[in-house]
Amino acid sequence: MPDLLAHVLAAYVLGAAVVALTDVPDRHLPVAMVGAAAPDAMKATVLLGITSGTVAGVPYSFWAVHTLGGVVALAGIGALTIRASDRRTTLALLLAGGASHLLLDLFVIRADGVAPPYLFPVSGWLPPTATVYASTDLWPTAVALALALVVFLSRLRSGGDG
Amino acid sequence: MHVRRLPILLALCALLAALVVGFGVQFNGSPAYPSSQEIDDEYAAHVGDDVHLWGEVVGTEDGRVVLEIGELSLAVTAPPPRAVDVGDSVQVYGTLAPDRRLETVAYHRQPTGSLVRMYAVSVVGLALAAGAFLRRWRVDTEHRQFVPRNGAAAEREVE
Repeated sequence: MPDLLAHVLAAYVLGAAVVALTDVPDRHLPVAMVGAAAPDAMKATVLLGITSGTVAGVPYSFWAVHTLGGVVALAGIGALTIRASDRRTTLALLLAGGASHLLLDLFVIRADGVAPPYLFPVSGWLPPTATVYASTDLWPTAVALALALVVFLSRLRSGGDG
Repeated sequence: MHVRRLPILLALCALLAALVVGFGVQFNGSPAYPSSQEIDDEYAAHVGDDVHLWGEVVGTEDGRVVLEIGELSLAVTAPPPRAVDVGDSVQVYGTLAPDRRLETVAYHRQPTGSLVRMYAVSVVGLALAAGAFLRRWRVDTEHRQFVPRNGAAAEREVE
């Protein structure tokens, strides 16, 4: 997906569907939004110019955060910050948000035609990209915003708090 | 569910660190994640490699666009000079050729400023996620955890 706002809005729609269709409490909806933001934590290293390299002869790459393994580790860490009785649901919503992020990133245009190894460390497979939008395109964000607005108004109408 | 959080937290942080190193071991310098520094240092050894690189347009040379990827400078067969402006970000996929040329197979251009705009919009997304979360959850400083805002005191659980 192009930017973090689009990911967060998409996770809002996903989270709203989860709380509407299951007995997951409404307070967990924003947890999915946080989960969707988590994989992009590595973008801070892009801005700092330290995404990958070698330290003391040991290679490293923060792209690992933007994979299945990274999503699981960050979701686990995030869930531990929540009180015990909400932890399992929080973990599930953080994982769902993170997975939605990786799934939507499969549609990003890449010149080599393949996406990064999002299943790492389970697999190093480079899945083909759907090549629908660039990471800087605004229209996917507009679509996500429109969908989120419909869901927001629908939740308000049904007595929710948006 | 009463669990000791600290050991699990430390284990998860160790897992994250292991993933960061593992990814570097497996993919740094691979065709998917080529190292512009390594290519620049030993260019001749990389001639013939298929690479996917993200660079910035810095000008033209003999009618070809010149991209800078870190220290590495490459003249690419595409995009043509008329299709880009200096400062644009371009991702290119192609084969490294002698004389620091890239035989482009495919490329995609991102105009100057679009990356800055993407980061600015992303900050809004981050603020939205944080704001939505903190509207429903608050920090319980005594037990160093987040608890729901509504009825939090009644629902609080002590580990």
